[in-house]
Amino acid sequence: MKERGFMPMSTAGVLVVLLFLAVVGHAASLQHQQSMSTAGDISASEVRILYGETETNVEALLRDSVYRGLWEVSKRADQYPNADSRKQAVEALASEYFTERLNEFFANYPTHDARVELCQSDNCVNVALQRAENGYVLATTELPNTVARLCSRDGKLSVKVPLDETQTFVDSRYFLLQERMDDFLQERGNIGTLWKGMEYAWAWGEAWLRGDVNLSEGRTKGFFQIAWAMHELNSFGSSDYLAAAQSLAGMENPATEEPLVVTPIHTADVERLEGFIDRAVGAIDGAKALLGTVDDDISLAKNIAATENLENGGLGKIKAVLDNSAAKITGANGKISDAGGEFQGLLNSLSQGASGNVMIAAIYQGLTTRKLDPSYPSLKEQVEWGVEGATEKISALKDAVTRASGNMDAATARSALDQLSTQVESSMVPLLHEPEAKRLVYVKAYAYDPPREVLRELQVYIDCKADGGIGSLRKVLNGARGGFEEMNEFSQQGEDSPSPPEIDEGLKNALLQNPLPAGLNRENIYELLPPPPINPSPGLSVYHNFTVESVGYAREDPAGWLYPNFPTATPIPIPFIGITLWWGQWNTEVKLEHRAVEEAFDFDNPTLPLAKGVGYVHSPLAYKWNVPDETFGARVIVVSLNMFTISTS
Amino acid sequence: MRGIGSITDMLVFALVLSVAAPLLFSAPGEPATGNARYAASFSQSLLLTIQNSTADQFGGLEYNLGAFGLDLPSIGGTTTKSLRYKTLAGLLAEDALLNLRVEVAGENIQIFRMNEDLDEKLGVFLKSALNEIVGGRFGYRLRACTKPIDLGTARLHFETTVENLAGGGRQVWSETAIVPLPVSGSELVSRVENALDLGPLGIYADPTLEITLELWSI
Repeated sequence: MKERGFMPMSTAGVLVVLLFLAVVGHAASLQHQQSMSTAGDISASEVRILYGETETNVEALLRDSVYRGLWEVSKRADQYPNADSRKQAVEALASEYFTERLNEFFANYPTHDARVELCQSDNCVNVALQRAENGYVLATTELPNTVARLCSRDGKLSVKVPLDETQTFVDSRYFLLQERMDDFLQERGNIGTLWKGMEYAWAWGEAWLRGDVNLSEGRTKGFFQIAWAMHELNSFGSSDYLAAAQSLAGMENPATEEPLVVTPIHTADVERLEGFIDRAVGAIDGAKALLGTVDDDISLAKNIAATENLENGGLGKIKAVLDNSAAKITGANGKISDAGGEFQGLLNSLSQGASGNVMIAAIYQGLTTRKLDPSYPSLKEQVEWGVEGATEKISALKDAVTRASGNMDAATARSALDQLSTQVESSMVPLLHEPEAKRLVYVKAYAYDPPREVLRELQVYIDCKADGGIGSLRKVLNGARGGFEEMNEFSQQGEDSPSPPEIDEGLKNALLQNPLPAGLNRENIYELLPPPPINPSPGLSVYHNFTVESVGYAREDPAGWLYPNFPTATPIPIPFIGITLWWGQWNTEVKLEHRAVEEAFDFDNPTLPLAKGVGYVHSPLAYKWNVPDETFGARVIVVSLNMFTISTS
Repeated sequence: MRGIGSITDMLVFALVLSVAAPLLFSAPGEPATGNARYAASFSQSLLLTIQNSTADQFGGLEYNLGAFGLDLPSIGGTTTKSLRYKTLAGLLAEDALLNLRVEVAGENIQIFRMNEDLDEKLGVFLKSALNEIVGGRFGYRLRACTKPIDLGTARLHFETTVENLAGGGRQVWSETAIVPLPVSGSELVSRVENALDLGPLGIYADPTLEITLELWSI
């Protein structure tokens, strides 16, 4: 069988080979195109990344320049008149450093990477700062006419890109430090207030509970250190507790002592005491009014006796008038008892309050014992004698009236009434008359304006029961009221005193830390390793450096003013209530050595690479202020009902 | 004879097909080319990430300053420094400045180094961050170095390497970026002169850190 195809087998083979070559050629072409496309993609991506890298590096240069500007300005922050000029100074420095760094960097770039060429036509760039959230800094700079020429590694892709504006976040809380320092400086008067509060509380406690106020320079310095630390804590959330602890070393730490708080007697307390006296005086006035009608009753009885027929009803009328008068006298006696009751109520009230209050206890003692002078009877004695004497006299009067009424008959009525009238008249005079002082007692005192030593006169109206009467009782009780008012005037000085400040527990604990070894430069150490803040927020550390140059005490109470070494406070005897107020007053002046330093560190951001020793370290931004020279003064007034001494060491 | 010729044709045809087939199958997609493109793109993105990502995105970096002989706990101080907002590249640049090494006759001299812990902690931190970003797709080696400052008998330089080459493969791509040190060249030289009490050296220091990232197949 002979078979033949449409072409010879060899032709078909040639065609197949040609077809194969065509397919292989096409495949090779595809592969080449794909390689070229890949290279193109890589080049484009490479240029994009180069641009990103350049921008990031410019931002880094900007940040480093701002770091340096911030550090240099913040370390002498007080040399600028205000926040704006300070910011401008940082901007100027940062601009200068940034320009320098930028030029250097642009020159160096091609030696590291030939793909990048940076061109800048302006020689100077300006940096602007603004506040970012939480007091951080946002730095911005314009780079006009600055171009980056970027090309790919194979040189086939080349672009020119302008670098216009660059903005970067600077991780240092410059603005927060500035704000907190402003708070500290503006509220600096609080240091004096806090210190004064501590001096007050301590002095009152010492005067009342120990009877001796020792004005000690060491203690005053300690209080002042603590007050400064408290103000720092309020302003920055921390304080230089290591410095404060160092200052408190070797002395009793006032921050760890339980404060002895004596509350001065308040106006309200004195008014309550005066209320008892007022009611007693009111009762006495009531008795006086009742007794005042007895004369009228006797006159009425005498008139009946003269005008009416005594045999026929007149005598009965007279007896009725006299019985009515006797009832009024009984009523007057009751009023006197009420007055005595009110005074006893005053004593009971004081007695109850005395156990928990040294001030009330002292008043109670003054009213019930002869504290001013052994020969000067206490108010309790005088009132008790006065009530007893008045009661006896009124009772005698009542007996006379009752007896006259009972024994009266028509025949002797007129003469009996005359006799009664004379008797009543003679009884009323010692009972109702407000007498002159029976005797005088003199005690040493000091007058204030001008300060001088004087003898104060104390009047004695009731020296025994026989002196008792409505008039003398009234004199004594009114005198007591005047005494309370005098005491109140002094007590009000105590009411104005600042309350003792409460020391934060965190600060108390921090003050127990061991101080730094002597001889170290604390500021340098803090720049490297600031102490951890007391409060975690806002996370600032504080440094201060001040020395109390001198502490001065000047006595201002009259005795102390006259005789600076006078051992006790000035006695102010108060008549009638038998109390001596002991008035101590002095002004304490703390003078700081020239140029106290206050500095705050951004503890949470130790981000600045600073030259230290032989190398560099990460340091937090510091904000330093030389505090203006200042003298702090505290006037302390202590009024005690117990004698206390004042000494200086 | 004719039958023999046909058989010869068939054999030639079969031979041509057997040669053409592998060529055709290999032509359209070269796996090596795809890998290279991916590695290039990945390494570039990775470098950009290193330059822009901050430490707190990876948990923050803390290190302890050398105690330089002080009993720090007793003075209430803590030696810990916490850096959160600096970029990874910025940290490398600051590490370079804070840990410049002195080399004399080819030997590194250990001088008083307060920031040694920064160097150690940053190495660990960067490795952890890079492991997280690379996610096991490649092995890597990150090398950062400065140009040495030649002082004549000694030289100052910095070099550090962070790598994870567990796969033991081959290098597929390498990319370099530069980062400025936080100080200028003149300031750096002045600092060296003052710190080492050398007087004017009349040299220039290049305050630039080169960061090279190599990606390796696994």
